[in-house]
Amino acid sequence: MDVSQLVREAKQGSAGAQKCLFDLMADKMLLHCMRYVKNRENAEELLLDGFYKFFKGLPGFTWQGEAALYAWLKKIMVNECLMFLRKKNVFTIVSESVMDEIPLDEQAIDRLSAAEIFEMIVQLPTGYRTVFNLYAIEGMNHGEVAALMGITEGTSKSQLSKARSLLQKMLLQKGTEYGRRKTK
Amino acid sequence: MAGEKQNEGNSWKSKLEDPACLPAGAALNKEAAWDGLYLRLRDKPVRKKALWYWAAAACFFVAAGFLWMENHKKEPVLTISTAQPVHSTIAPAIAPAKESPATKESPATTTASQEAERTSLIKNNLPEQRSNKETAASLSKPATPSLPVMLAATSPEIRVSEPVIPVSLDIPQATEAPKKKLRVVSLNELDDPADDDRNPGSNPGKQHYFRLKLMSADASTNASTLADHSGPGILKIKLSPQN
Repeated sequence: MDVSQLVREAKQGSAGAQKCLFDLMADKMLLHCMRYVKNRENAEELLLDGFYKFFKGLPGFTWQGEAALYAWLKKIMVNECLMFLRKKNVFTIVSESVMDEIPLDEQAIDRLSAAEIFEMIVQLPTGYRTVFNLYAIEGMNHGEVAALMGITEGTSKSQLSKARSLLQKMLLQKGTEYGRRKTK
Repeated sequence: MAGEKQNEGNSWKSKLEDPACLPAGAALNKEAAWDGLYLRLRDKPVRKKALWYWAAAACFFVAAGFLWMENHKKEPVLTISTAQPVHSTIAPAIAPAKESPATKESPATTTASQEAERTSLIKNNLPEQRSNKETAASLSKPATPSLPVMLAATSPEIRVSEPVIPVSLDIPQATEAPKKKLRVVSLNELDDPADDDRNPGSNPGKQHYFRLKLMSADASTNASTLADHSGPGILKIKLSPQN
């Protein structure tokens, strides 16, 4: 069924249409949540909270295409995750001096599989991971990241630099492993 | 070239959108998750907090009301309005209680009301008796201090303050009693006391007469002169039994 029609029926309270939308987008959204929150149970709980808000707010949503719907749902999920992390006080990051920008070898990352990239990101500490997710994946700038996390822009930059350096190390490790595997 | 790099950069990000990158065993049980979500969507929000707030507010108001009642029981405040004449409010309440033993506790208040009435009657009934100014002055002369001072002296609980709310002293038994009038009789109306002595039945109202004899100091020493009631210089005042 067409997504726009599903949305229209879900707006009118059709449980069937709501379930179809949930089935369609739940996996992607769970992946989003798990990038921010490591724990599987917490991620699922946040996913349900996010979908609850999504369906409650759906009557006020104006259909502007599937991408807009997806972006809106993603934003709800990100906000839920950030609220959860803020409650746990994981953003009490001490301001550190801004390190030099470490460019991430994106070609090297690109060679990795989706599961490997996901695993690398999840291994990052919470602060680094959140800044990296918001800046590098969601495409926000440091000002937006700082406002969302309640930190300064300088802290956001330093967290991103450290996240990149850690990822670089992991990539090197992966590359070595990859080279070893190839040579064997 | 830059576009290619951008595409390359986006390619690893787009990989993260793929649900296949979820670790093994982390797949979502959609049916169970939907059941839970469906129940939440259909449930009406329960206002548990509101109940507690109402209960707390009710307790607060009950406690506040109790304290207010306690405070107002201890200290009754009576205010007398000066907008209305004070005598008209208090005098009828106190005047009939003259014979009762309660008046002994506050004699000043009763005399004040009597004085007020007496003066008004003198002014109304005897406008022509200008010659008896001394007598009228002696009757209308206030023997007691002013009413607020008397009230303050007799009952310390009653405060006479600047009036805001008119409150009258409401004594039920006193208000129901009939108003008694005083009557001042001029000299010309008086009968000869000798007639009364001779004919006791001619004075059915049992009015009492007090005779005053105006005489000189020398004559006052003479006891025989005092016994003579028929002299021309005797001032007679007739008083009603209520006076």
